[in-house]
Amino acid sequence: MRDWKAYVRSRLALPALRGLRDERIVEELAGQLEDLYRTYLARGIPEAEAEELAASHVTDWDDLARRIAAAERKNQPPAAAEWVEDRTRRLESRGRIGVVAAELVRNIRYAARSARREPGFWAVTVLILGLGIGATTAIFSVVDGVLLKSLPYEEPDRLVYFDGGSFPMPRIADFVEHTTSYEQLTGVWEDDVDWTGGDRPLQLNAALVLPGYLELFDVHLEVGRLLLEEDFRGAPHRAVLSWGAWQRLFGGDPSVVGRPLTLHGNPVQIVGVLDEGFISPAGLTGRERDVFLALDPQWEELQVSWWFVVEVYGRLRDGATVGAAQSELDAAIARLADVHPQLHRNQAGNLRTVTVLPLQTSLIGSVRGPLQLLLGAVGLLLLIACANVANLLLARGTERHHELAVRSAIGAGRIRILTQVLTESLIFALAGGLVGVVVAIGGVRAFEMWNPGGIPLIERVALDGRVLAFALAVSLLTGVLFGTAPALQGARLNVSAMLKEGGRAGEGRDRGRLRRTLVMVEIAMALMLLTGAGLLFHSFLRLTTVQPGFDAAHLAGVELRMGDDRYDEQARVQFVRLLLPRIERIPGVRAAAVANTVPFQYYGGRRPGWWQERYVNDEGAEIEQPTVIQPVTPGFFATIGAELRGDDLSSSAADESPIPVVLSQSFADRLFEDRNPIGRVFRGLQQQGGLQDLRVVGVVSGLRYWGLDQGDHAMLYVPWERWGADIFMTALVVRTAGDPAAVLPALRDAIWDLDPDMALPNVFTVPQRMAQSVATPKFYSALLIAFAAVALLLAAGGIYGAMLYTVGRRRRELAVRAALGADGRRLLWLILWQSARVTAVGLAIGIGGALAATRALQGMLFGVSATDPATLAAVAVLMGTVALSASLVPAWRAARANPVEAMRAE
Amino acid sequence: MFSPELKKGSVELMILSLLDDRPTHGYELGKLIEVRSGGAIEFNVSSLYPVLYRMENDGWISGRWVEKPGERRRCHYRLTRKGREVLAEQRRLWAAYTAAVNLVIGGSHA
Repeated sequence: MRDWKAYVRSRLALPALRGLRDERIVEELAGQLEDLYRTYLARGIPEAEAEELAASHVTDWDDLARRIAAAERKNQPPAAAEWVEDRTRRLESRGRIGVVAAELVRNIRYAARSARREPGFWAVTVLILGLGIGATTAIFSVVDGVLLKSLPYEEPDRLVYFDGGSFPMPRIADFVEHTTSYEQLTGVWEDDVDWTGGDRPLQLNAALVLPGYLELFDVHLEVGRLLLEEDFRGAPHRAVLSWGAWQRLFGGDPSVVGRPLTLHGNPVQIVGVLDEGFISPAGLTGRERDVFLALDPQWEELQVSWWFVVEVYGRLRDGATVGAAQSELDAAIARLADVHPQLHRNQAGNLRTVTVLPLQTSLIGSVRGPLQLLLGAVGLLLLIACANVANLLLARGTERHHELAVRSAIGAGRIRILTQVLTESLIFALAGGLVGVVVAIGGVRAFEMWNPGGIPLIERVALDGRVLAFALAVSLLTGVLFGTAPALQGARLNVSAMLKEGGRAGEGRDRGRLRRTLVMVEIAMALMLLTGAGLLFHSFLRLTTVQPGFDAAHLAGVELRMGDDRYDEQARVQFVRLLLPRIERIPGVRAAAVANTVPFQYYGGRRPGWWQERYVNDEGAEIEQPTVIQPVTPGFFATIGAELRGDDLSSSAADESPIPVVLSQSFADRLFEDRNPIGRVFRGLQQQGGLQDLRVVGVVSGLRYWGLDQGDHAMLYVPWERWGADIFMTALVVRTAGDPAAVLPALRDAIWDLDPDMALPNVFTVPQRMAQSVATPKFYSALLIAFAAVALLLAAGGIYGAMLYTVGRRRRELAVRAALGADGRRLLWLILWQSARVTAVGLAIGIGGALAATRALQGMLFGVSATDPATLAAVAVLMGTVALSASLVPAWRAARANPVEAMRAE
Repeated sequence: MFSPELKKGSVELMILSLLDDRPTHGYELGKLIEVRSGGAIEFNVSSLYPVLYRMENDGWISGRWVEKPGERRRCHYRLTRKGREVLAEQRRLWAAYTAAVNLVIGGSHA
């Protein structure tokens, strides 16, 4: 017997294989044919003939398949659709609001139907919008968390910070005594302390706080008590722990209260633990403190005018303003400068001014510009996406307009058509918004993961209600923005002409012009983004190709923490004398030296160290020049591989007089102008006995000590044993034969051999620090390049679509031209020329916009002007090339215009 | 014997009526129509099956696969509650329609 199932399966062509359901249909049909076959057999008909007879019951298999498919289709939409229609009609009978609601429901259904009809169009549109809205939402959530949300303190607007770095304690006492704007004026000395008592010494982030500091920030306690008046007496000896440190170091053990800690070799008693929710201003910038020690403002060690350690925070009195506080402080400083000149004037005699900043401003100062820039950039991206979608909607025109014309002809008013098109746009936008939220979630996560650090308040960034409300608002706004043009076009249709001419009228000149304008706008805005990205990238390239002036690739550094009471000046000298030979014996180490800081140990505008600003040159002229004094051991310049003119400091330098010193080239120029500095004697380095005589033995040039972007800063290198040993900052620098990272463990071991209690929180290679120092510009330029790439893509898509549309619309004209003998190349040029005109106008607008907008970038650029002509030219050429390439396909299509075919199509 | 158009208007009513008696399978339905009409009405598989398929999709009838010993499994159809309502409605309409047509063509009452 024939295999009836196989027979049916081979003949019945259902639209697509749909699994079980089709299997059932096949089985049922095969069964019936088999029943027929058996019936014929039973009547005594021979097998072969019975098969033929049974098979003859189905002759037209295609028809059968069509009817089965039709039965299904008929069944699918109806029930729900009828129900909705029924409800909608009922709505309409409920007065005016009902009518509006019913209209809305209908419009949504039209949109849903169109989505089913054109899934590809919908997918592309929603994706474009999703990208635009998502990127905007992601950056907004960062901006919101960092710039807009108020700080997590009570009445945060009243909190202020004294911008001007750290202050000596007597100066703060002056501020407190001579101002009235503050309810509380207090301060903090943020420092690292070494905690010994565990297996290995550990470094803790400490805050030595003046009375009232913690209370300024609404502190609450987990266990124990806060710092009381009696705790602020003499050297710091009472502390409260942060919740995090309590968990990390003591596993949340409440009995820690009352227990002594050994910090920097001194006993400190813990009196309490702060609650989990507390976050200090340092914590908001990602440097939360582990321990808060009571700092006595009267502590005798602090009563010197040269120790700049305490930062000042305050809470304004109710009703006081930042402006009034500033004027008061300016006046007070001017007055006090005569009483305490050593506090309120610098070495050159100028007033040391202080700026009163709202706390939030002080925290976000450095990132405000970049974040606003990013927000502006995504805003542009979103506008490009809008223009792109508006263009797509206009391009969809033809059949759509026919449909609208039909609706209009059967009685839909203009308003009704307008709202229908607008509703559809809003639905597009809301769908885009949904996709956007997903994009934003990924975007924020990526931002948090890849941001190089240093963005304050970043942990407050969240996709919360505010951000979602923003996303919704942006979606609706974009919907209106890109939906208005098509809606107005739709409402303005000339119905009778449209219907008569098969939908070809109405897409007349102004629609083409509108589309070209949109493309111009896209090109202009994409060019602006490209310019920003190009400038940042150019600047980044400049930055990374700067020569640091020393052999950075083979350097490692270790911060030697000899600040506590175990080390006095002599002990430090002794330690270094023992350490250096041991380090130099480590395999792979070429040379070692000690200085206050290693090049690139600090970067990003920070130059911690010993500063001096008053000098008298060899001709007796007073020179004011802020200078970092860098005490170094002999062989320092050879160790770091710097280019030294003259001599290095010798091992006897510390005892010679005048004291031998090495200058940075910039400082030498400042002191001696064009005189040869080598061998000259000048005066500087204020000490008890006044200025010291210093003799220049060498000049080092082009050494970028504080970052690639910092230039050749004025520096004065002095013998370490003479001055370095009395400064708490000490660092070991090591030059290696190979990869410096490989010797780091050996460096640690060598140091711990000499002092097992020394905490070593900073053991690093210089290449590492160098990479970190450019991580932030790299991050921003990468982000902007990503935005610009998307913009370029969208703009290219825009011009491609517009040109394709133009070619389609001018098909008849092109065909006529072809028929009249225009060859392909000529037609190609015709279209390219039109594209070039649109592109040129877009570029011109874009260059104007870029010139106006990129000024905001100036602060972020290194070695490149915000109006750098080379960058502008490069991005304009790139944009122009991309735009013309995007029109190549449409132009090529025009060139192949077949006169006969095109005419027939009309 | 009868034109397809004529049969098309009544095939649903016939199927519903037959299934109202007892559930049965597709081949059997075709045979029953042929037998009961005295051989005057015949449907081949390709015209009957799509109707069954559509009626099932519309929820008038529902099919269930039944396998009896020694036989291959067959899909047995039975009326649903909705099918029963449709049947009542169609019977009423059919009676009214034929009566009206008879009045027009002047024949005797059916």
